[in-house]
Amino acid sequence: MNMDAALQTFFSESRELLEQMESLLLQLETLDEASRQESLHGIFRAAHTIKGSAGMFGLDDVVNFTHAVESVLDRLRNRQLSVSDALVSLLLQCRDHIAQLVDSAEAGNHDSTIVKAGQPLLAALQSYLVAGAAAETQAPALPVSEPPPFERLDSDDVASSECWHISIRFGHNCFRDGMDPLSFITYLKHLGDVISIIPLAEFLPTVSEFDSESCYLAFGIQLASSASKQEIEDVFEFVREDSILHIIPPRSRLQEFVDLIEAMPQVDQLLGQMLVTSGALTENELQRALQLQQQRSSSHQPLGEIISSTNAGIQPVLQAALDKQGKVRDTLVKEQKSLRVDAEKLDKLINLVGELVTAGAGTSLLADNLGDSALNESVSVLNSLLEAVRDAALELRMIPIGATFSRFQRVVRDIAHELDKEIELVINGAETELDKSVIEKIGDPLTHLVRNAIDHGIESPAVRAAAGKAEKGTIILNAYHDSGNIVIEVSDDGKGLDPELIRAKAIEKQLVDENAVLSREEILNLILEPGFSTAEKVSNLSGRGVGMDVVKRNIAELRGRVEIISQVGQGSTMRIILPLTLAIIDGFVIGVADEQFVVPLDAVLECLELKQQPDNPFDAPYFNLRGQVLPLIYLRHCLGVEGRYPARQNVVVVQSGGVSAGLVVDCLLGEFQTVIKPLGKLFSKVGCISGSTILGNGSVALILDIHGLINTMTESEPQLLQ
Amino acid sequence: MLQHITEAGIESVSPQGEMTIYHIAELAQAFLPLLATDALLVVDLKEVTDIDSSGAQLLMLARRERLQAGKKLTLVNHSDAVISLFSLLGLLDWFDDPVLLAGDA
Repeated sequence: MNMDAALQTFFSESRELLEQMESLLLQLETLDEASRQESLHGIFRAAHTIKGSAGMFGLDDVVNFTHAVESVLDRLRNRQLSVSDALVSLLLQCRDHIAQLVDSAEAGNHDSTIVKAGQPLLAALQSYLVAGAAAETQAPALPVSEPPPFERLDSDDVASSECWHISIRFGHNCFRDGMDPLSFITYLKHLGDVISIIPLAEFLPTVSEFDSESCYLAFGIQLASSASKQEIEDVFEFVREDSILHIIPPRSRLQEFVDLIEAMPQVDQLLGQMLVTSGALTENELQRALQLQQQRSSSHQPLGEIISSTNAGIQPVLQAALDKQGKVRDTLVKEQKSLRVDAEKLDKLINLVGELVTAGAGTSLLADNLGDSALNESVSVLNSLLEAVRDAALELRMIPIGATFSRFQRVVRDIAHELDKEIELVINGAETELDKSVIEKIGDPLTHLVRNAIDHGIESPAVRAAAGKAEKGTIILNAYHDSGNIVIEVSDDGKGLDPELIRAKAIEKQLVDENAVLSREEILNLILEPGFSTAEKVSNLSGRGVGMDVVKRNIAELRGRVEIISQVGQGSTMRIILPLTLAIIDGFVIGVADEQFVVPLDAVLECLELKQQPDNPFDAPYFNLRGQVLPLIYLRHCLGVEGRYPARQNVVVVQSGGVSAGLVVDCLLGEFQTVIKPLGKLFSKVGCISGSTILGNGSVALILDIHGLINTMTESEPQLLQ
Repeated sequence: MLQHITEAGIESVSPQGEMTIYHIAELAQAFLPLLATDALLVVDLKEVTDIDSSGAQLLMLARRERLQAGKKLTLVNHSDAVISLFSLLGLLDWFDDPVLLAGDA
């Protein structure tokens, strides 16, 4: 068994659980009674699973702390405590602390400062345990330097077994291979005391299918032993391959029983039997429950209900057993819903698909040249399949931004609390999908923007009321796709950015010259400069002049940009525009003289012929598009392409960020699946080009950045686009 | 291999000698058809000199089959070999037949 791999899984799963815990905690106060109870169970289970798994890996810091959290959660879900704002805040802090502990465990260091940082939290948790528990008269105050008293026996989730629990189902060929299950069990006695052994007859087939020389035996064994898990596993070395072996360490937690039940074969079993087999319930307990059931036979109470009333602690296992039973009875063996895949493997796949697309384009070009219709047909089928493969491969990496957005519920809640502001967070476009790598990198910049909006944007309730606004401020997170770009907006309805103030500040900080003539937009963009801060006083959240420039840099690293839209008194919107960093896009190939360029197909609206008419003089800077003025960009001039003019020129109408323009080109060469190769660092300042690609015939074409192109033109001839 | 006596509505079966993987196929062939009987089926184990897991498995199957058909199967006169195997595999509780330990009257 590879513990390292298992440990990695533990870390990543813990993080997921912690995230789940956070979102459940945040919803808690808004829910009605029934769904609240459900959420509490969810939170408890998350904490519980983390504790259980951490215990398996001997991460005592995590176990100790989480145990305390879990105890409080247990009281909560048993309604011995009620949900309050303060308690939710405390639990959120605890969640953060667990995350820190898990992080430090992953980093491999036992950091006593982190553990110490948890002491105040533990003390606070203890107060909930003491206050609610009149019966627990002795509740010693926690000594600050000592770890919390952690008594495993007190915990209700420890099933009575303090032994190893071994569950083994022997392979069918066991006898034929000359092995007798008996010898393994006898050998097991060398390792310790076999406390109990329960033969399982579930796997015995019907008489007609029975082959007396095949082995259908399975056993559940309780072993009291000081041997390691490896040693016990080694006992079964010779039958390991065909057999199904589960070993649960002593003091095993419920989660492991749950796992065991879930891993049971798809055979219909009695509920009690499953619980006993998994070790979650002792035979005695089952007998008692069964007796109770018989006594109450008139009411036909299901066994599950009785067990849950007599053994409340095993609720999660019981649930798992019931689920399992239900699943088996449905005989619907559903496939696992998700699969963990190494990101590297995905990258490799996408690279290969990229190569495949290029190769496909080459083939289709050759087929075109040959003019063989059968070949052409087959190539076009091939290409449409290639497209489908490409899209499917890219989708593997796409995840909705919603999870990132909902994390901000917490940020908003915490900071609003701290600043005594009332803020509501509205999330739009949570389903917008982004490449996973982009989502990972966008988190920090977004946090900065949201914090800024809360801290600088939204005013205090009193100020808002005086300004005639609702006391509760609103922050809107919005994400959407726009002509091949992904746009993420952080908007607030706060006080907005005052250009005069920014200008004055920038002059004071010597970022701009006193006499500089700056457009409104340029002034607003000053806040993205390093060393700029307009906050009168520095709070611990923002206003230290770091942040916005970091945001700008991070976004620039993703080849995106930040736009600022603001109205004094009305609020501001920070708009992050990211290019499709995906490796492959649908492109539209255009030709100018001997050069070919690719325009992202998403940005193309339509194509027209550029007619030489009286109202369209040669090289006119605009075009009459059905009565609308369409500014023209002559790629030939703009990109400095030399060469003969063709007899006819074409206009490709493109759009980006709400602005349309016509690209004047020589010829239109049609759609092309474009594998984006980024340009070298040297060209990162080139505004109009976003990358390069290799065409089917092996030549290189540059990919035009439509937004950059329009911007470049706007800067040189601003009157055209207004 | 297998002695089989029917008297007074009781089918009595007593496996002879070894109930091990070497003989189990033969034994099963003779034994399994008897499970269909409506009479009380008694398996006398006193002549079993050696038994292994495959033998135990056969008996487990027999018991389960009879239970499912709503009929009885009783194991009696467990030999020392049977008792030792059953206790190692936890089968004494599983079969739940009264067992006379050697030395007892």
